[in-house]
Amino acid sequence: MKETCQCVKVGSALTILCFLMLLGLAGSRSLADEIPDDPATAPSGAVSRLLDGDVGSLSYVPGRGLRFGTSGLVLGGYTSVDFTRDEGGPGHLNLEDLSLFVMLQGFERFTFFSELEFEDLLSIDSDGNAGSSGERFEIERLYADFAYSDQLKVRVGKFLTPVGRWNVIHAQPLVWTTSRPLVTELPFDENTTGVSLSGELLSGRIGYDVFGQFTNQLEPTPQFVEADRSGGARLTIQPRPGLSLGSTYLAFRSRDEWFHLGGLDAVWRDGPIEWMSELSFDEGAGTSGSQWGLYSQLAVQFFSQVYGIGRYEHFAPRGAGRSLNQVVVGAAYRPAPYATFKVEYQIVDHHSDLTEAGFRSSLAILF
Amino acid sequence: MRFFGIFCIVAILCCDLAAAESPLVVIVHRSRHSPISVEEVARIFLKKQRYWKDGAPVVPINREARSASRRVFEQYFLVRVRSDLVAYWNEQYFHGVFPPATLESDEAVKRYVGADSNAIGYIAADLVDDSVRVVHRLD
Repeated sequence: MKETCQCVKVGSALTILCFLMLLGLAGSRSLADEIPDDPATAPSGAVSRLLDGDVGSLSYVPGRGLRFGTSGLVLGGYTSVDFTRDEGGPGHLNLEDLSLFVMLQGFERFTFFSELEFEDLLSIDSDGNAGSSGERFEIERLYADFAYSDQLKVRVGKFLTPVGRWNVIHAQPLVWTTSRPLVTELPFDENTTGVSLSGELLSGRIGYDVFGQFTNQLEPTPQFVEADRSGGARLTIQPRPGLSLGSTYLAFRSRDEWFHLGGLDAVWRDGPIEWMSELSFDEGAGTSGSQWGLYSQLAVQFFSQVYGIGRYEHFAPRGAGRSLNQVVVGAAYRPAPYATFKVEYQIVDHHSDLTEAGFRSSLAILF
Repeated sequence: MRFFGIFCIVAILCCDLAAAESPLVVIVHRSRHSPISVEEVARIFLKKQRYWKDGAPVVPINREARSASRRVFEQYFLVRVRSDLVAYWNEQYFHGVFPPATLESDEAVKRYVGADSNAIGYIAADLVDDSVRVVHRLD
């Protein structure tokens, strides 16, 4: 009975994945560097008009979602398939993420956004054993935005905690590597359920975000840190085109102890080069001690859609844990604007529970 | 039928090339008199600036991604390579923000901007008439 159940799950997951990939590829007639437009107004060559109804046509553009006519409702999302092999261990093929965006747009100042995520759906190891490492459904984001002006936007709901840069764009199709820098997920809760005030000043040269969680987390997800109260602020400046610098302060309570985190980050883009770096330091007000970490990542466009990536990371965990140094070397290929194929090798200076040396690859698709 | 198809494709290409030869201008509704900087135009078309100074929502209108006008506009105003823009809009999509609406001809862009006081677009200079005001010109 259990085997039948597992087969059904495997079959369902593969069916969903195949459907999404076919939907993406079938709808695509675009060049690799062609920007997919809004399905509501994309030119006829790029959009698939699926049905006509009372609110207009049901239209789909790969990487920009399925728009329900003039209703303002848009469905989209992303998925990723990973293949990983730690040094000395078996290989694993994982259907890691299936995230569905539900958006409501078309209002002058109000928007609604949600991301419903199915995680760890399927894993097949190199011996042919299939199963799930604990599939789960999560409400990753659920919020409403009210834009009073460009200088003030109010967000209410569950959103990604605006610490650094990686956490707020962590989706596999948007980042250069399959693995995630430790400093972007170990020190803080990735989500906040509360209120945020944000905006841009001086023609976008300065951006701010003040946020807080005054209630329990909506649908808390298993993470390294689970915060039940928090407050923080983030400031970004753009001293010149292509360069953005950011700083974050976050105070949060986890397991009845308050922690204080400070972070600095930077991104610089110039032609075929992108450099991104983040540093954070946090300390518990009780007996937990402190930890800190950083990463520095360089991505260089080699050919039209091929990128080389190198990253160095250092992480010094709190307590008696030994500091970790890690290097990731890899490449990314973007065959279409909404698809990214990545391969990388991760080297660590010693074995640790936090990370393993080995090979990582993934195919990620925005749909 | 096949010849008609080829004729249509050639005609469309010729129109696009002709439009590309005429200087590109950025236009707003004739009722908008405030100057707009190049930087502001870029921020509007990247959806970073969503409101005019009077508080009304900005409605940027793009040409379709394959058009010559769009490529010229992006190179001059957005100062980004295509791969950068792809990454930028993918990131925005992750946050629920879509690229500006598109229209498939300069004539359609002019008619839309001429009719909507909150719109901004770009067209070939030789199509400009009294319904719109030119705020930038690329010679």
